[in-house]
Amino acid sequence: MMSLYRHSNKNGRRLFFAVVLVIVIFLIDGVSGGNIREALRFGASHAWGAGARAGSAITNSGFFSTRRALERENQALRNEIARLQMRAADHEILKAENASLREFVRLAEGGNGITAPIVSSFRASPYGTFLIGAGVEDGVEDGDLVVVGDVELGGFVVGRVEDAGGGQSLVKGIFAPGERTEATIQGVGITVEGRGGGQARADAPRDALIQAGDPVISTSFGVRAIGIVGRVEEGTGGASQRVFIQLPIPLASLEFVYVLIQ
Amino acid sequence: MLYVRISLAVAAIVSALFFPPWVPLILIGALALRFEALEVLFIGLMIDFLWLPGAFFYPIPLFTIAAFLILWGLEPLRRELFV
Repeated sequence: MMSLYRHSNKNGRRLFFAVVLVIVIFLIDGVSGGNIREALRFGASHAWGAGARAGSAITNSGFFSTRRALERENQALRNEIARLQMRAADHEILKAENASLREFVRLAEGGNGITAPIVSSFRASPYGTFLIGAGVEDGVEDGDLVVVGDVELGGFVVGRVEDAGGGQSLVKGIFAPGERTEATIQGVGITVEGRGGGQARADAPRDALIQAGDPVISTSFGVRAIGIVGRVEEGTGGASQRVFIQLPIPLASLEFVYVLIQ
Repeated sequence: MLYVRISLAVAAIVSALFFPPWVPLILIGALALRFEALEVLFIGLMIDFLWLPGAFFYPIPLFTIAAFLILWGLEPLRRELFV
């Protein structure tokens, strides 16, 4: 008895030739050193930039905001400003202390680098990658670290350049889905497993004193911070506690990153 | 129906730039279900070229493979329902 769920021979031939064409395009791109990818990414970065500017203009116009929502937002922003001012004051104290300590201990230095704009969405990539507007022409190479925050203190590493093009580069986030990174929290060694969207998790020994806000440091990236502890969950009866890690600032709010050029 | 097909294809391409991966995946599925849309393969290829680091076939181009499986897998159902 013939199967009721059959494939058509004619359509099968068309699909076969389409697959062959896809493979040929892959091979051409590989042999040409990624020229097709680079051209696509160039176009995509400009298209994303135009779309992001248009979306930003619409949302900032307040056309879709009610008065009540705007009042709530204003109050929340005022509270956030006050909280950040206090943190900034604490940060200055720690910065001065850190600078004097660095004169005695040779830790990872800021190094040479350039500031690069982010030219793609963070959430569109299925592989946890994003595009930055700097490439080989600017001295960027594969393997360069991408950081945010205060570079003089090392900053927070958000990714590594995977594919440096002429004017754009593809960066793979260290918290990309499935990415594993060795790190420490308060001297306790952990393996951080990326979950995408600037989030990661790890399992730490149950008796480790880890709390929200603790920095996560990785020697894989020159003893630099890669995130902070967002939340700790203690499982009942288990030998470990689940630590949820995040970047100190939301990925979506980032406009510029700093690329450490090797 | 040609306008619907073109609209779905353009929406899939645009969503690959702005929206999470499941959005273009749904649009690809809708295209493959309703039309004999070989462009679905090239949309998957475009997404992998945009976001996948590396060259040739390493890492594995998951979206291209997913597009092929959706296209090939839904073809008999499409012929049964819509042709």
